[in-house]
Amino acid sequence: MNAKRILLVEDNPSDVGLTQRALPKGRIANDLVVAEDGQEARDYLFGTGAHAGRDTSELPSLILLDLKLPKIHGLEVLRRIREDPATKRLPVVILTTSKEERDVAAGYDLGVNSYITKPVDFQQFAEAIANLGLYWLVMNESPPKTVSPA
Amino acid sequence: MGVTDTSSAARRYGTAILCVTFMLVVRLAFGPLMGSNSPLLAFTLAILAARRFGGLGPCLLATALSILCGLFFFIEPRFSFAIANSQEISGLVLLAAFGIFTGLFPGIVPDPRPQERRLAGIPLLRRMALLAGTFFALLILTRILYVDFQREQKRQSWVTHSYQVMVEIRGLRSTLEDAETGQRGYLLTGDETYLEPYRLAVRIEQSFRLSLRKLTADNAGPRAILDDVDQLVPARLASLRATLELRRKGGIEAAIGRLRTGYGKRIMDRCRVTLGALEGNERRLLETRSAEAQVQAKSTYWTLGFGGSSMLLLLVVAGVVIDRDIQNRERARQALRCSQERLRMALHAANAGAWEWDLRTNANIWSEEIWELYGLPPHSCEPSYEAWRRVVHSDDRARAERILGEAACEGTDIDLEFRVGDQPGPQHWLMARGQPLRDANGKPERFAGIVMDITRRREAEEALRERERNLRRFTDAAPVAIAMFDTQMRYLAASQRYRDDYEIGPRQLIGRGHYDVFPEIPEAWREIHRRCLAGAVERNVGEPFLRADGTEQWIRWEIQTWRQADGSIGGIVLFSEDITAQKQAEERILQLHAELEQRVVERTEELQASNKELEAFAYSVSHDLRAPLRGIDGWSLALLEDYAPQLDENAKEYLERVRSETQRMGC
Repeated sequence: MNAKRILLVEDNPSDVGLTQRALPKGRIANDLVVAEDGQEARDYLFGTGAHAGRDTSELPSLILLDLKLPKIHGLEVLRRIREDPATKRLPVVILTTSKEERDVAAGYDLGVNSYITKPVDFQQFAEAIANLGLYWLVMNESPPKTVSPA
Repeated sequence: MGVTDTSSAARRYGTAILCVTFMLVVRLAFGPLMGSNSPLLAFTLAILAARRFGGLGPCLLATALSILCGLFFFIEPRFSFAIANSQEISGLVLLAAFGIFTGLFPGIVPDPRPQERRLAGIPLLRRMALLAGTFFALLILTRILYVDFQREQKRQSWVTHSYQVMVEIRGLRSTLEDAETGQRGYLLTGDETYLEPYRLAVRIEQSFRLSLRKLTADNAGPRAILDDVDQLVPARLASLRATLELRRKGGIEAAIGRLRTGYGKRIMDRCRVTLGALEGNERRLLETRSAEAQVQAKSTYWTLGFGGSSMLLLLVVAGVVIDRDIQNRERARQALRCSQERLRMALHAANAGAWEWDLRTNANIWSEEIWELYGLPPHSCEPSYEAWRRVVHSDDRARAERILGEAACEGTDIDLEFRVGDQPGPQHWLMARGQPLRDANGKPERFAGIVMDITRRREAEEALRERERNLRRFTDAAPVAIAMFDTQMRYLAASQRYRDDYEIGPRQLIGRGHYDVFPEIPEAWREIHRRCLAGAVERNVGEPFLRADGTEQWIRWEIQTWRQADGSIGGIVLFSEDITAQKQAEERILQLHAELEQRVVERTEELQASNKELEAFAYSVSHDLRAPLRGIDGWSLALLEDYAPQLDENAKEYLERVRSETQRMGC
């Protein structure tokens, strides 16, 4: 299995489609796993609900997180990720339409690694996705996978 | 007194000594020029100078010194106190008289000093008596001296007398011997010239004998001897003549033969013995008389010395005593004059005059100043009670007369202030003070006192009163509550506002104790008062004062000390303000403020809630609108990219338009 998997948490199918289009354009060939709401993202990460029984040791190398999600809000998802010792070091990039300062501040307070506002212009959006992938998946040194329980 | 007197006396007596010494030196220096002419005259000048510059005492001292110096230096024998010629005494007596007279009657020396003329202070009779006494003493002394001198001269004359007798005896003897020698010469030579002494002897021997008889008449002793002499001397001469006759007649042989009988020699020997006895007798007398004369001279010397020196001493002592008397009188007189002058000056300085009022005649005596004080031309009328009455201002006349009448009736002191003159313009205030002078029955018969101008004092008093009134008005009207206390915390002043603020009402404050007026003043405040009385300044911006009636008054106060003219603390000034109303207003404001705060909080909460809603809406708008836009743009581009060949230029353009509109909306 390809280790460098990207988890995209996005409820808008249009945006999912656009992201899927944008990644190859940026020569990013990593697998893209899509969770359509917060609940699903959580289940996927912690092997609960619909994803019960999934090998949770296989964690994505990068999570692209939208904030305005059905069921569970993106910030709540982020909080869960940071709370859990297994996932707390995962690189999480908030990719959202919101420019609210409140959201930005809350995101960073909860330990997000990066906060990107989705441009309306698709080309710019594609560029941002490409840069994102290049940076987090190639240039950035990934955190150690296993976490000592202590 | 004391030092000044002593030094002044020393100076005056020193002057006398100096004058005499000076004249003595001058007279001695001019001695060769003037000889023995009036040697005492120079001393009269010294005496006059001493009188002029020293006074009576120094004058008499100069007199005494002059007499001593004259006696010692000028009267024969010189440089001794002895007197050779008794007449010289008169000169000294005259000098003494001159000195005393000059001293006691200074008119003869012109003297510019007024106090010296005051010798007249000694009664003339006393001075005359003093002068007469001194003269009398001098006369007695002179008389004693004169008798003494007479006696001495007598003794001396007896001594001379004895010498005379002895001279006569020796003359007789030598005459006889000369006669014998001459006779012998003739006997040997026959020359007549040898007989000259013999003939002289025959001529004069009797006069010798007569003289001797006369000289010794006072004495019985030599009379018998003289009888012998009277026989022997003629006998001897007769014997010599007999031998001479023989020589002439019988020649030398006959004469020698007679000589050989020895008769002549025997007579001559008896003559010698007799004359020797006579001389011996006289010599004894001389010795006795010389001794007597010496004793007499000594006695005279002592009389002169003792009498003279006691006289001089008397002179000097009298002079000093009288002089001191004069000086004392002069001082007392001067002191009196000074005090009179002081009184006059004091009256003048006080703008005061002296008066006297005779109750029996109503006549007055006014001093010079009174006329001016009464506004009258000097001596323009007869000073009297009536004249005074007219002078008094008509408004004051009745009161003044009543006061004087009472004083006259009861014999009490007069103390009266009144105005003078009815003329318009500034009025003069006078003050009269007087005391009754009573007759033998104790009934007042006169009043004596002073009157002085007190206009300025009255004006000053009025000005002071006005100032005090102004100050009182100022204090009363001061729009603050202010009170002034002395060190005992008694009220000295308080403003009307103070009385109002603390509801004192019509009660008296001045002079009362602060704590008597407000017994409810807490100990803490009393402590503050004590600190302020010690010099502190204290204030408080607001403090409750729990009044005796239970109400609470809010006070803002400040306390400062006030000081006396000498800088010492005289008490405190309390400035206070009743801020109860202000305090209540403040509390009301605080309450309103709190209510307002509450309302603001409530409104803010409401606003915040609506804001949140609005924010949520804006958020969702922004988020929910932008997402589709990106989709429209993205998918338009996907269409352009993926289906470009199938799209004609028109379709591409439409798609571009879609994109550009989308982007415009998303910006």
